[in-house]
Amino acid sequence: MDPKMQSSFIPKTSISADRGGRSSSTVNLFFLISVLILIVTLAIAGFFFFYNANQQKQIDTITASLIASEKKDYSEPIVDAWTALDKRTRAANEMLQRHYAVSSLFKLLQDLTVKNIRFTRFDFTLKDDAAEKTSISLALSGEGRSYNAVSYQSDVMKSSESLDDALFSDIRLDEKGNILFSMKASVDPDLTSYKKLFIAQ
Amino acid sequence: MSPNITALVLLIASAGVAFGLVSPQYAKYQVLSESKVQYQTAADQAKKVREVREKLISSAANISNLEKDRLARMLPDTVDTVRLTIDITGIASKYGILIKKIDVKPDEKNANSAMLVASPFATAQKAQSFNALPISFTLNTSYENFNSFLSDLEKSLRMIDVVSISVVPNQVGQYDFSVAARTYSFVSGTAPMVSSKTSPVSAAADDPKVKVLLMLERLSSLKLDRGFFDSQLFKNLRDFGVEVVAEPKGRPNPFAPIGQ
Repeated sequence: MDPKMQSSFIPKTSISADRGGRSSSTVNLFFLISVLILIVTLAIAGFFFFYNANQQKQIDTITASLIASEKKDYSEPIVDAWTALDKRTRAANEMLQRHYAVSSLFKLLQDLTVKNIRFTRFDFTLKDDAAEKTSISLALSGEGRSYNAVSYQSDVMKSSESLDDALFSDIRLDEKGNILFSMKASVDPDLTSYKKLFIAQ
Repeated sequence: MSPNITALVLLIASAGVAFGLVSPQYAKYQVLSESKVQYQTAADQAKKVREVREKLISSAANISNLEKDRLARMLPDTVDTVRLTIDITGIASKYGILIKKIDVKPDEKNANSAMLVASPFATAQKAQSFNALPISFTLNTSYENFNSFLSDLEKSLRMIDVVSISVVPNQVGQYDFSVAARTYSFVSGTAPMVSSKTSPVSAAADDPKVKVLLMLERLSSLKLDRGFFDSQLFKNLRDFGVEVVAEPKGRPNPFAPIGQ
């Protein structure tokens, strides 16, 4: 029998010695992985550290430029002056858009008054509310030579596009035989608009 | 030391680095990234501020001092009641009208505010940055002269809105006119740096980013509209103001009859 031939399936080396070899290679791999993890972790920490420092530097640069622009461009007195000028211009423009020219009311009255009628009292009141609605009320007293003249005057007033709700009342005779009357009406606000009057001229 | 134990120590050290260095640096990275975006936005807004500012400089230069003076005359900071009286009587005197008395409520902004609250015109006025002051006067003249006077009053650069007129004939060709009107004064109230939108962050108003945003918001709201000064409506208004001439001053007895 060949002495080199193994006659038994039972290994001659001890089991413990074989196990020891496999354990050593496992430990080495475990060690290497641990080292790698540590290196990667440190690298990530380093990356964030330097990246953040760079970010901070950029932010500081922008902050410095913002502060420099603030000192150069945000001069409060000049901005205040512009703000006041702008606000005054807008307010003046708004006022001018709403400006009233009530002389047009007298012009209307001149055009509408019948030859045989005269007015003895004139009261005009303009009210404008917060909703920018303007209401103009007109109250007149007058006298006419005849009922016909007063009646025609009433027709003329009622047919005027600039007057609404023209109402004649208190019609009576005076001692001279003239017909006295009172009249109330509301006036179209457009009639007294300075802007519209100006454009019409 | 056994390699296993060393590896374990290294893993623990890695965990320590991860939690002790990486985690806070990552948190800082997130904060800085967000902050950088905000600062870059602020830098862009600062550029816009410069652009808007340049435009405003140009717009302001296009409005002459004469036009600014006319604007200030149209809507003064305060109504000088003496000068207003001189202006109105000056217009009246052109037509031989004598106004004996003009009542003007003093231009006291605070007192006026109380008046405005009671007035239906109040809300509109407050929104439009002006105060209205009531004026009233009576005069006796012919119808034709009153019409001319009224027409001039409407064209006056010093804005006067007639809101009530009563006419009663008293003699042949003469009438008593009672007029109520109002004139206006400007409420400057310069806008503060902190806007209404951002008022809760007023504490952060020192932050350059916030300042840029507020300044951009403020400058962008300004127009300095040349169109108003070019409008015929404004140009057509006439300045009836009378120059006040200096007179000799100094009297030993200020109560002595004038001339003595």
